[in-house]
Amino acid sequence: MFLDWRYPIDHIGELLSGALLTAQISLICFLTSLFLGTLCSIVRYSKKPKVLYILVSIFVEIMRNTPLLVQLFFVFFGVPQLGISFSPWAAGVLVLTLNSAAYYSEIMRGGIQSIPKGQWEAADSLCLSKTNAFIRVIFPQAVRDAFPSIANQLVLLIFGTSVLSILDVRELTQTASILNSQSFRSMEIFTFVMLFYYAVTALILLLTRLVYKKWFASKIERR
Amino acid sequence: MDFSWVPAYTGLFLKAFGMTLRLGAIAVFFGTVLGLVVGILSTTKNRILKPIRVILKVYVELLRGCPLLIQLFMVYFGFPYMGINIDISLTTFLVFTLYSGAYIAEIVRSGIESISVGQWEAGYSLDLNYMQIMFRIILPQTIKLALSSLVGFYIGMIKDTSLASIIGYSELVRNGQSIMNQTGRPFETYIMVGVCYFIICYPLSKLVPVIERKAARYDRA
Repeated sequence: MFLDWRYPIDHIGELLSGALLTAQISLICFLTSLFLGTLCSIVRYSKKPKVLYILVSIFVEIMRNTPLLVQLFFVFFGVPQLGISFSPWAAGVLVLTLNSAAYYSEIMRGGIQSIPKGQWEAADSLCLSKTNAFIRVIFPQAVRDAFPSIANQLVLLIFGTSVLSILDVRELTQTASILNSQSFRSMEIFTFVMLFYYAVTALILLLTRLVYKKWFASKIERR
Repeated sequence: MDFSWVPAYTGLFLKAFGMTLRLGAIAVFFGTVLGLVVGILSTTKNRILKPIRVILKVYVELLRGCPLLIQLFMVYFGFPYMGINIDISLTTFLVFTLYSGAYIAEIVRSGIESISVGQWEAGYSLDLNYMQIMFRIILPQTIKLALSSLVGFYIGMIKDTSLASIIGYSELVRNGQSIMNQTGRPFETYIMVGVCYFIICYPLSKLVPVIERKAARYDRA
């Protein structure tokens, strides 16, 4: 065995375009799932309206307690049986968004619940309506409390995009698999890709720590 | 929707379910043992152990920093490339154990570090040695604190066993694919597969808040 590091470096263009698709999918899914998850968390927190609460709860429990891969296969292979079919990219983005939205709904609900009742009462005493109190007082604090978990879930989301490789979405993992089957330089390629993922997650965690320190940490007063 | 074919395949589903449970149990058990050892070692302060701590830190960081699928591919394709030939079950067991070991080590490490120094000082003042303090004072408190995140991770681990199907390990998803090919009913098949995972993971997920409440009550006492 000899390691030939030129191979992944020679094919850096392909790997980078794969990484770009990973980044694109991650970004789309992150934004949509954070939005959707926040909406779900409001329903889960307020428990009103009753019907919606039950539906959202069922959605969250199913998404959180079945594997991403099964959800992906269900949407890509199962749902077409009903006459609706998706492209691999669309199925992947849809499933990742819904999956991650379920996790974000729990994270945000935890954030909202962590805000003490006194904050609601204070807002009420200032004559803020319930909606206004939520948007201006409770929600910003909830985001602050949930911030580390939000970043963590983003990292898990990026890892989740690697599962889309199974449907031949040409993101980083699939690009690596293709290069691997062309050359069988497995060790070099996968080590390279591993370090690539590691660098991205390390960067994200570093950035979130900086943002957290700069914007949020100073504003946390111990209750 | 037509589930009338399901009874004929019950045996296969149960067998596949057993395979998933076995892989999950192995990953969880050996991962916990490995994670405890690595977690405890990485909190040591001994200067001689410094190189070991650095190696363990790299191990934990790398495996937590890249997708499980890449790690599976790396061992599945990379080991034969290095001249090491092991079969799929062993590959899967190895990767899942190392992967869960890294996560559990981090949970254990942060748990141990969250125990206040006063506990150590109290232990030393009673003339206990390192091992006694670690195993009789620190670790029991750590486990209590870390149990809910551990169970949360176990749930994730059981769901992640589905990825083993990609390299050909015969578990629920893999068998679901062959059932789907035989029956031509992917919609119902994947619902059934999903239900199997749900049956394991849902009760475990309901356990987490119970543990958290218990731990909080224990804390106040």
